[in-house]
Amino acid sequence: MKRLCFLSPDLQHARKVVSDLKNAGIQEKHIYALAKYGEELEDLPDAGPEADDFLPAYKRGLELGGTAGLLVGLTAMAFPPAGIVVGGGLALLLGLWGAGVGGLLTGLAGAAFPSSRLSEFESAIEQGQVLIMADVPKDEVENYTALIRRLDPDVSVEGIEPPPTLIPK
Amino acid sequence: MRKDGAAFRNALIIVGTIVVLVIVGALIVNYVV
Repeated sequence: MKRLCFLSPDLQHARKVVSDLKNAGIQEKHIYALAKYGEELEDLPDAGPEADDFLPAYKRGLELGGTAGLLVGLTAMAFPPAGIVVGGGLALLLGLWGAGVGGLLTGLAGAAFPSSRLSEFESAIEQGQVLIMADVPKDEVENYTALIRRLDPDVSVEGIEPPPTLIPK
Repeated sequence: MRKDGAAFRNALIIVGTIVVLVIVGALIVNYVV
């Protein structure tokens, strides 16, 4: 699957494109529409958690927390606190624990913000355009790009890989 | 229409992380004490 992202100038156009995509065989759950805050999407499939920053923030937290935890562990190995024998195992465990805490807290905080992966579309969305994302099979990207271009030849279609699914379908 | 799949995925990540944290935390405590 590859995620196609493009901006639709208004809701009417967005509705037309989404219905075209659905007719072409893309399931509604694979189409996400994102409009300005407060704009009524009505029957368009909303982006839900796809539009928040939980997953990218979670990843950043994992990396930073893991690094910090490992550093703490290594420091404890180099300068062992009195009464505790610190081995490599504890350093690794602390690294893992730091990654978990970092990921969890950063992810939960990130969930309150718009996705950082979509920041390039932010100003256009603010101006009233509608961002449409659709997950399409990789080998049919050309077909769907052509389908989207048919309605609006000037539209720029950009591909963003969808994050790998944790729940196999 | 809500994207229940993505919400479920996020919930799974949160719960999974907490489980890992509890296990690793217990191991650390076991190690230190």
